[in-house]
Amino acid sequence: MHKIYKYIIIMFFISMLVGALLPSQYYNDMDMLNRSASVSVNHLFGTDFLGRDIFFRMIRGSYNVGIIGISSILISLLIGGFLALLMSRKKTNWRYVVSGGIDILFVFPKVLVALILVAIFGPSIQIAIISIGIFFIPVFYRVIYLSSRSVWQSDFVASARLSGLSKYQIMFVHIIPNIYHIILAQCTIQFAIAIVSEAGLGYLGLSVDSSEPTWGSMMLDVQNSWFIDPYFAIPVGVAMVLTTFSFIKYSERIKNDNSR
Amino acid sequence: MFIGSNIKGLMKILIKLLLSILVVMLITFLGIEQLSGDVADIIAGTEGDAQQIRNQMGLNQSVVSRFFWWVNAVAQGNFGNSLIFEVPVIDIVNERILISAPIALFAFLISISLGLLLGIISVVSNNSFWNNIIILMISFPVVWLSLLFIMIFSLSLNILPSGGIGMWKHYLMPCLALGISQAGVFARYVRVGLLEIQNSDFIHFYQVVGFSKVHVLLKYGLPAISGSLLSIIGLQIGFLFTGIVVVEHIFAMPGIGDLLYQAILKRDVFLAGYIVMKSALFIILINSIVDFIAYIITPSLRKGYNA
Amino acid sequence: MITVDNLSLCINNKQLLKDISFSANKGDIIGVVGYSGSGKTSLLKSIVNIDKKATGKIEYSGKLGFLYQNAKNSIAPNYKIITQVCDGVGKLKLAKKLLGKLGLDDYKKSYVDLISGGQQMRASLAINLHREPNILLLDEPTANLDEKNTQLVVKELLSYAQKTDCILIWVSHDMKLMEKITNKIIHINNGTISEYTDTKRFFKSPSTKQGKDLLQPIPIKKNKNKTGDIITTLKNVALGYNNKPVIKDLSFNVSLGECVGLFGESGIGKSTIFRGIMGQLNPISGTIKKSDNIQMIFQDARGALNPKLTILDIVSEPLGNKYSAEEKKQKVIKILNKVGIDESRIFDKPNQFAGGECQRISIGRAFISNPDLILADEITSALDSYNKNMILKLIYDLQAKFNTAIIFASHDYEAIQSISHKVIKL
Repeated sequence: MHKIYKYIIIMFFISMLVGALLPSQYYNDMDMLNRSASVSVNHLFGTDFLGRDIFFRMIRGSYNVGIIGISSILISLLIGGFLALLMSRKKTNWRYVVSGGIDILFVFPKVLVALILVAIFGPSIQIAIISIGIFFIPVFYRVIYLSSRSVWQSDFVASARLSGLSKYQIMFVHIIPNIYHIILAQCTIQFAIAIVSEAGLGYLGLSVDSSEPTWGSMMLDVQNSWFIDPYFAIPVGVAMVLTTFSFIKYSERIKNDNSR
Repeated sequence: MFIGSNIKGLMKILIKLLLSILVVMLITFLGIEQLSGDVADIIAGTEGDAQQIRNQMGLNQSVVSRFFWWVNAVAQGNFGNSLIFEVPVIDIVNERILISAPIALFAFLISISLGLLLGIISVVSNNSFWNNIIILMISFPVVWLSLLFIMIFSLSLNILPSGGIGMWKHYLMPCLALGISQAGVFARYVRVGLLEIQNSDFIHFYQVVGFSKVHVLLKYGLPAISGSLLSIIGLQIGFLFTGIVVVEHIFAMPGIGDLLYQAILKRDVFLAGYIVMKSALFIILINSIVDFIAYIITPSLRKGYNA
Repeated sequence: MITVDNLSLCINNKQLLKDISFSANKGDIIGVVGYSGSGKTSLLKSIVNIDKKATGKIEYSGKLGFLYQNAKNSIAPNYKIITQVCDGVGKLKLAKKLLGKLGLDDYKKSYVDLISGGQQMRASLAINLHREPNILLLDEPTANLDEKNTQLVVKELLSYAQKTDCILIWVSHDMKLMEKITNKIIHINNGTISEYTDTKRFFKSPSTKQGKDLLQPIPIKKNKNKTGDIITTLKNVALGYNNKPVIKDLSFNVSLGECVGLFGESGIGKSTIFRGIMGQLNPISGTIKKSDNIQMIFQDARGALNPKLTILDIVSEPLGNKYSAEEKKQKVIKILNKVGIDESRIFDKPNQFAGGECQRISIGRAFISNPDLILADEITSALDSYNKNMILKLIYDLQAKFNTAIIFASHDYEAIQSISHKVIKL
């Protein structure tokens, strides 16, 4: 039964790959004669109000959403995680400054950051990545700080210190291998959260620009064609829920497997 | 209660509060600065003299003096006039808050209470069904849940209006959509927290002497994790903010979120700046209060004992 | 009265308990003994079976109580002590009297995080006894306590048991204590009952080899070759945190080949002294002269080994960069042989070894680089008497071979006495 989540995740990544290679005609071409068409052989999930094929927009959308998710996680993991590893080693006064500064990032809701950036620079994929990434930094910082702190205080690290290992050696040999599974589980959850967040931002038009579809921006398309045919949002919505659900379930699986 | 308390802990909260305020004001000011440059041109258009407008707005003085001029004006309650609506910024905002506040409040209450309930149930019943429900709730983005509600209750069943304001019916779906999606997030934190301590000896002990698992988790488990739950609640306020903007957009409700959205995209610097600042300050305030409460109720933090 | 029939426990495909059957009557005081890891704690937890993982029939009449090894975790952190004592029972006046009898008068309005280890155990005792249990399960309650607290706890438990005919099921490593206070002994080995018999009979002649091993007294063996090179000196040292001294005016020295015992109750500052010697903590006053070549052996054997590394990597860590991979491997095999671990297991991870074996691996790691000084921090406190003897003998043998200086900190006077040349009472 739980194998199903794995398959959905694999399907998502396959979709991402296909989406990456998809020529833009597939998802941008407007078939004016067939606007808001329902399901047909030509258009697997129908077309939207501009006549664009929904199925291919979803595939390309999964690629964009995936890139946003992966990039934002990478950036925030590197920044937040590295700072956390440094700060968790021993009690320094820097710790208050750093963790306080990072907590301030929590204060800025993604919408705010996105709105301001879009107002200045116009929507783009980088903006989506930054808005979501900024919010992830404190999350990774907290998780990695807490988990690595207990490892720093363990007896085998004390023994490694006595044996003359430098702090970087200890980080790579002792700390990271012991928090690796926690990081992995957290990344998986954050990916799910990135999808959900992008849905909101994309709906407000604060994600990628209009030349590329994302699952969030497709929700906006629905809004624009409300009185014609709102139901073509359903495949996108279902895809979002299934993918997010699978990633979260999978992260729990990672956590459980490790505590054995 | 405070005699002999750990001053260090209190100071930490206070400093965090002040620094956050400073950072917010700086960023708001810089943001306005950045956008004002374009604004002068926009206002000038093809008719007026951009330079003259800049002089009027005081944009030709140095950055530092402008900052202090701005802080001064703000302290006196003068936030400027909205460029779109041409009335004092404060007035519009206060009007719209009356629309957003009920949504935010009810959604918040729903999310906390439903979240708490689901989190506890999912731990007490060993069934993974409840956990799946929680994850399902998290998997529904607010925008999709709202659309779904509209499709079902407005379009198909026709029992609720799909947008606008005025009656309680208009508020039902927005509050539920926002509340339910947030409840999932909170429930998950409750669940994770309880799972962590449920193997503790004191939880085991009170079951040995006869209390039921539910009783023990509620009476002894929740207080033990209340510190971290409180800081999560502080975070929720931030999430709620994003949700409000989305929900007001979908249900076409003229509240603060919608106002902010328009203001920023239409470059109404004063309006946008005011809303941004107010919201950020509000979030910081709530977080500081939450930190403070957590500090009070955790005995070990209070006396400064380092576990 | 309590009857247990065919109690079995299987977790993650490991059979922790198999077909345990016994019964006890009012007034019985049963000692549960056996090697570390033989299933004693699992037995107690399975009797109460809170998470319902054990199978079999358990019948008892009356109320249960439970005293845990780590008292701090067994008391809720957010409620006052007095509140928890009375929770569900009431009788405030009686509770206050009980807390007074246990010396907790001043702390009854306090919280568990803010009182000392001994006080925590006494608080746990109060919370249990106020409820007047008929069956009390005790999981090594005195293992981490000093002499004074141990005697107090034992006295209170015995007087309670005598007054109420309560059944005590007492897991312990302290064989002397068990002989003194119990009337029946359950000897557990590998998850099954080896023997269930009268205390007198067990201590006179246990019917299994493991039983006999448990009763061996600790041999006193002190190394004769004290070579006199003083390797560490402490002069008028005061050590503490935030300028508040925990240790005041301490002076002693250690020579190569010598074993110095640091005796004191838990929490008195032995770890603080070690931190000072290792250079992690600067003395508030006085001087510490030490060598740089120091290793340490810890109380929690499993916690001292990185669960993600093979024991080859773990034991070779102190060797640094001076040797090739093959040389390191040979050295590791050699030292593991000396501590009784077979070389075929060098690629195994710590979770594949038993607790006692982990401590031996730890000892191997400590000696492998031939350090000048080894700090031993309560290395026998968590062990049953058989494993304790073995570890002490191992230390003695290795010290003889390597001529290392050793500082041995413990609250177990007998253990310290057995291998130390001089003892410092803190």
